[in-house]
Amino acid sequence: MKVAVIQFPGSNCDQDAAWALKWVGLEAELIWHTATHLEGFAAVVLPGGFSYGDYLRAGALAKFSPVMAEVRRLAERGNPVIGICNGFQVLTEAGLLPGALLANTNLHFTCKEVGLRVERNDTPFTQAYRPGELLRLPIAHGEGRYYADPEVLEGLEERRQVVFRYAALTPAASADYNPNGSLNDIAGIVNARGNVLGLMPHPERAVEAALGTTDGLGVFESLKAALEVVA
Amino acid sequence: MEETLNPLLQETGIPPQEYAEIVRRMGREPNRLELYLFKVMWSEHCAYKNSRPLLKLLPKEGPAVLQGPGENAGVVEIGEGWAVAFKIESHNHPSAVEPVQGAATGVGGIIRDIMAMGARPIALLNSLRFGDPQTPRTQYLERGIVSGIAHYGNAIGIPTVGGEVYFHPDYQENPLVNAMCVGLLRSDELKRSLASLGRPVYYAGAKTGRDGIGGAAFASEELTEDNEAKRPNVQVGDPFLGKLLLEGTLEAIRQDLVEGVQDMGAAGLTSSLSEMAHKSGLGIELDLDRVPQREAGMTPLELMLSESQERMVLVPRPGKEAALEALFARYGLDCVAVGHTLPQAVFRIVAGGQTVAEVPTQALAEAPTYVREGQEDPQVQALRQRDLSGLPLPGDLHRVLPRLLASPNLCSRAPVFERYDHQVGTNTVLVPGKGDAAIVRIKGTGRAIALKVDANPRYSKLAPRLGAMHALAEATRNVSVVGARPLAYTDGLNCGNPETPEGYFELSETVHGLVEASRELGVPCVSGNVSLYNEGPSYRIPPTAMVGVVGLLDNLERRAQMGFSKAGEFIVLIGESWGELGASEYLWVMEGQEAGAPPSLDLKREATAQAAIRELIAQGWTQTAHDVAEGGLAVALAEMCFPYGLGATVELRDLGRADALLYGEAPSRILFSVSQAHLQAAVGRLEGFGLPYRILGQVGGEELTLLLPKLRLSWSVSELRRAWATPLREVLP
Amino acid sequence: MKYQATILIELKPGILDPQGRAVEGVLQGLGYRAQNVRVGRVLEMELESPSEAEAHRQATEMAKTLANPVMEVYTVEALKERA
Repeated sequence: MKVAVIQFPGSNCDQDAAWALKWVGLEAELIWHTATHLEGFAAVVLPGGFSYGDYLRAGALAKFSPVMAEVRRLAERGNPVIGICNGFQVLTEAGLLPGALLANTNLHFTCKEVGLRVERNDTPFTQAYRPGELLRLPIAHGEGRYYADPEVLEGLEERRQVVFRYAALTPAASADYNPNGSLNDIAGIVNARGNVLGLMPHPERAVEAALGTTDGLGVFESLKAALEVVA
Repeated sequence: MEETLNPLLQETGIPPQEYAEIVRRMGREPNRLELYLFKVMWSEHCAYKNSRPLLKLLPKEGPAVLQGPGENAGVVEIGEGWAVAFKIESHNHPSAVEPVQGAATGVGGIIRDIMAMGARPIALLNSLRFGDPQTPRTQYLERGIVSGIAHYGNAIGIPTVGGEVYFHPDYQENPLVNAMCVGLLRSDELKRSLASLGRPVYYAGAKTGRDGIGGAAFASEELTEDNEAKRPNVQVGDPFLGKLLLEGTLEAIRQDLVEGVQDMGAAGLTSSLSEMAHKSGLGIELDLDRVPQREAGMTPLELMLSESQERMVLVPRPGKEAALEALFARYGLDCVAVGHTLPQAVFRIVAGGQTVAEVPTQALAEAPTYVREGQEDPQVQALRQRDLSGLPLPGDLHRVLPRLLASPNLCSRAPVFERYDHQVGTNTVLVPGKGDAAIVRIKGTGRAIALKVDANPRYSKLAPRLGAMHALAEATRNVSVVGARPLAYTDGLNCGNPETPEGYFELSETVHGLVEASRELGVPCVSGNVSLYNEGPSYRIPPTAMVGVVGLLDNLERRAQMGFSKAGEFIVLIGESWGELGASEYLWVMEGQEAGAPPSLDLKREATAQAAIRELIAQGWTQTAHDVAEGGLAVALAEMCFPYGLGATVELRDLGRADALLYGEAPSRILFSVSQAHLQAAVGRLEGFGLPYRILGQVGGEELTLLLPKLRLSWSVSELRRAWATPLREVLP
Repeated sequence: MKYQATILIELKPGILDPQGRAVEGVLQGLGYRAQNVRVGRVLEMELESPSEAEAHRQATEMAKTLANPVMEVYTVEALKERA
């Protein structure tokens, strides 16, 4: 049950994603962006980082990498694809997920823990969570403000494609829980079919108690369970 | 006499006596290019002309030391075959000129130093100094420098796990930006800047442009109106290319393709190649026609002085040349042979088939050194000796704590560190704001390292020697307080002009202070950097020894953070409950005075206090500890209440001035909390160590309450937290 | 009079442009023969001014204020009267 973790030039959370996948017992392999086939891989992770330095626009140049044709093929075939942070930006730039990620309203990179609410647990990435469960996960990005046209946004909500929303962890934090100004507090979405997930927070940074929170573990455990069902 | 002065001397600014020495060493008059090689190699930045005789005095040996000063970075062993390489470096002048790129290239440069040792960089720290926080210039520098550090560190994917920011009016014209990098390597994969005979020398990374020409020499000159025009083209950092170069270089080392590695930093090709040749006891011939160039028509002089970023020198192992080239091609980077080693110890530069310069490597590498006469600035002496005994007691002690917590040097640093990715790599166990030092675990082991950089400019301004001792004492204390044993340190010395008696005095006293503290605390210095000439016509920075300490936690599970987390735990203070007002933050914030002597420091007592807290943590008796630093006991207690919003009630029974009890400063003091079950064992051990201690009170509630003889002070933790959290947000929203 | 001004701010020639370099690499990878790609910023604005010369003076002054003189150069690319 191998998962491909794509390394674009400038990716920097590739090793962390592979570590988290292995932590739950999945096999993970780092794949350089020039790869032209992903035979034998059951799922794909596009990791965080600064692909191509995030020059031009975050994720804008990575969509031209040769491996993206294969990622698209797997996504269309229904295999699970996760884009974390920069990976989410690549997925939107490549048109595999709707919308775009714009500069945070505070106009700078922000690294801190945020609250997230799990909106649905009927995806291959969230079955380990309860619906409505509150999670504590780190974010680390400068361009994470989710934006989509009103019609697209409405469609997303109607089809329940929003999987994670920023939420207040405590009543005291109810004023400023949305760290980047995302529309509808969107932190993570899936495609209509439900097999492609993009999210700005970093679940791979939250799988071990020593690192402060294990709330990200569910994403990887869910993926493992989903892949085992397929197998 | 003046008419006969060689115009080249005027152009290069080389003093006549040094020129005579150059001619003597060369056995002939140098040509223009050769003279410029000397200019950059004999600059303070490259040659440590004024500091080398002093730096020799620093203890450099220790059981953990694998590599001391002299290489790209120091290296200490941490067990199980692992070692860490680390170094701090300044980028003060470039950051004053262009804060974003100056700070960014400072970070990039120190990362390459660590790579050059064969280590994977795993953590960054930085130490920043600014002037008056209310002025637009300071705010402009703050925003620029913080975003430059974030820009480079975040993108290259190395977590910025710690740092410090300090404001002091004497940095108004001359901010300090020191960046520290820590890398992890297998002890047996340590690389050095060496080449053997008959080997080609490769250039890898970015192409050479007219960036920062003369930067190293520029860094060693005072910033004046006159040399404004001499300012070089700003060096621009490219963290994206830096990341590719990092991965390429580390893969080349892992595949054992290279025998020697050297960063191309300050003074670019000149410094990297001539030093590599000198260390190897060989010569190097460099063919400039083969150097990858970004711009057309660059002259040999421009190529030799360029400080283009993201370049490395690699020496392949025999037969591995093609593999090395193929590896870098995969990353889309240039990697070409630009020269080769020679049996005779000369640095020869060839362009267009002609030798354009040839200089003995030793002549370049071993610049003359100077030992000067220092004299203390009488104004500083007068400030230190000012009598503070008549200082009035504040009428309202209650309002002092929120004011101190909101003051520039004590308020929350979250607006700064939230801009840095401090978690990438998934190893940061103790993130900024949670403990006195950062903790970074070593995957695959139960071990971790603790990291801290520290320096108090108020102490070192008023008493340079004692101030430097305090810097090392506090940085090691911070590392001990999270449970780690300090192994070694790197020192970033930032001082004024050593050619003035006051400047030299401060430099010399600072080093002597470090020597003494190093010896008594048993912590060697393994690497460092010197930035002098941080002064101008109307200012001189306080001597600032930024000390970066690396400690080892044998068992990651036994560690401490700073926030009170369990109501009912007892709060114990190691040390006495009174402090001194001289050189204190209290005196500055409340009275606007920077005066008096910094608190005295007993290094034996310091070492004992550190050993004691490490043992209490290792025994598992405490998980919460915090050093009592600027702002004294009251500020330290408030800081322990903030992470979890849990209050405390504390009784200070000692007699003395209430302001000194609450806000006075003294070293070797550590607060910790302990459950009732372990209280007796813990204080029993403190008695065993012969340390004074006080059981001050208990954790609990939502208020911080301090009971003094005839005085009760109480604040809500959330109100204090608000005062502390907001000030820096106004500059860095 | 209303004018429409376009100001271009770009890096000084000779200063490394990492962004341009990365874009160039990708364009070449896609088969284009682009060289020396450099990325700048375009600012568009409406100006109220009594004359074209005055509008140009204002635009130039604003460009100077906005550009970083250490690394950037600016030009007023276009100025036209608005209907």
